[in-house]
Amino acid sequence: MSTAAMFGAQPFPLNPISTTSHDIPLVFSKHTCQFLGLTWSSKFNLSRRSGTVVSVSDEKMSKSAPVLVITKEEGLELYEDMVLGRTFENMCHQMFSLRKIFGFVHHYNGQEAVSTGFIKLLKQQDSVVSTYRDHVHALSKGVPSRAVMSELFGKITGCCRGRGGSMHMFSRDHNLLGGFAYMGEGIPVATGAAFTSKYKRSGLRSCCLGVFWGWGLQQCALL
Amino acid sequence: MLGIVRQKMLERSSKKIRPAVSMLRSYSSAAKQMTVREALNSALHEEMSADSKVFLIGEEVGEYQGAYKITKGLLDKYGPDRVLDTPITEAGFTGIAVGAAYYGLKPVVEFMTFNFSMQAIDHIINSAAKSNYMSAGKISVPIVFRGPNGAAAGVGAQHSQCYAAWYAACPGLKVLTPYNSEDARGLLKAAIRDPDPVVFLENELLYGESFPTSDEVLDSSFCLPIGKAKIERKGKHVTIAAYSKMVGYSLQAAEILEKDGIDAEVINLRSIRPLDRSTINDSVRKTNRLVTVEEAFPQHGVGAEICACVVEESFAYLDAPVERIAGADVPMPYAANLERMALPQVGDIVRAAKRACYRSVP
Repeated sequence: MSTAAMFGAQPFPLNPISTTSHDIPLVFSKHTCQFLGLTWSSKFNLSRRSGTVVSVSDEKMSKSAPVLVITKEEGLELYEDMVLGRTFENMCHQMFSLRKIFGFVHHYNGQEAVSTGFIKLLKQQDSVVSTYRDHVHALSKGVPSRAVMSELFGKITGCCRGRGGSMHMFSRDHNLLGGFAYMGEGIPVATGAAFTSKYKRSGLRSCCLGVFWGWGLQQCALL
Repeated sequence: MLGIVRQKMLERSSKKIRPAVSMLRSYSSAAKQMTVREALNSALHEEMSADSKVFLIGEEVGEYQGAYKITKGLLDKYGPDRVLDTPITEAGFTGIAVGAAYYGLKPVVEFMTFNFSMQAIDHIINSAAKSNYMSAGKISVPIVFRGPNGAAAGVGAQHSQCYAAWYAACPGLKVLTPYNSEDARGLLKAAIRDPDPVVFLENELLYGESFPTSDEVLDSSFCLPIGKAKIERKGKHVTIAAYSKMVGYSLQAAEILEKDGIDAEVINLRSIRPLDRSTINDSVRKTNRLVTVEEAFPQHGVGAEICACVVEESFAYLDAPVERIAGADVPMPYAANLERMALPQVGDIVRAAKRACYRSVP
């Protein structure tokens, strides 16, 4: 079972060699996008793509015919997701200044590439555990932006019917497991969700992505 | 002497119809207006200057001057050796503080909100509260855990819980809940001077509220006794027992009830553990009716404990069942209208008092 940590700086093959015997190798069908997971509507014909993805630096060094990391269409999809995140957060900031959104609001401006880059790798059944800075994670995972914004306004049409608020976005349909207020709170939760995947030994490999940074690590180091 | 004069003036003034609670407090021309924030800050300044063993530890207490500016100016005055900014690890710095207390220092630990104290609750309960007993009195833990407790505004389920009942259930802890500036100053000083662990539950929404404080309160030796409640408003028809922000709501409710001919006695509990059972029971024996008010979840709450202690000691004096007003039995919702419905409002207290007086059908 793969975790986000495995996708480090080195170029990664999309059919990684498993380091544990319990892992079932990932098998992508011919029509599945090889870069982007199934959290977005796959409307492109990707059969012309080559099998191995290499990093941009490798491409420069090799001097052979350049192999694209992503296609132009995929790039536009990713860009759209990032622009959505930025526009959404800018609107949140406006609404907060106008006091239409209240309580705590944590903006994700500047980090859109992280959300898009990681979450768009995932499939529908993969889960994401986020922090209080979770609006854009919800958007990247596929929660409709209208539902997220309604939640911030405390409306019943929000993804948590107005009960959760900015810091507690949940979606069973999109496997977004929250939205946690405390530093590092989601780390054990994400680990548990990943454990479920391993426990069920499901035919499809699934992945749990826990998103945290900085201070969260300190909290977890002591746990 | 000043206290007796103050009480008599309060009795006289409480008989008049008043449009707002603040009028009730303008009884002394010498009283200085002081916010709860200033009261806490001044108490910390005085205790730190009086005893070099007192030190502060918590997130943002130093450079940032306190997340809610309670510790403003303390880093500049006492230096980084005595005002310690910590990383975001409640379990870590609480444990460190408890260890320091074992060894003779007097830490004041600030939690940004008491919700975060759950990350450190093992140290509060097991390391601090139980140590004196487990060591047969040999280890004393003169530590204070302080910070805002209870609901703020629109901060959601994980930032809005009241922990009074949780901590008050544990032997070995003292739990204090100040309401106004006098309480804040007197109880915090008492807590810092106390040789046992004290959980000091403030309220974020009260920090900016201003109350008149007499010269006696402003004196640096001023201290309130732990375990004594205060009768904020004397009455004879129904007792309303509350703590923290709910004391303010209860006083407002008492004004409304007065118009309907119900003279309510409002008790500011101040100390949840030890609970001032004698003040509560004396009041119930006088009025024969009781309403408890708290912001916290209803089950196993402070109101439940007060009800039990009154039933144990003054059952024959009760003319009506005890009315218990508490927060709704749900995690705090985010939406503003739901949040309002999840917390007790002045109208709820008024209706409960009327029910206790059989003036309305429940």
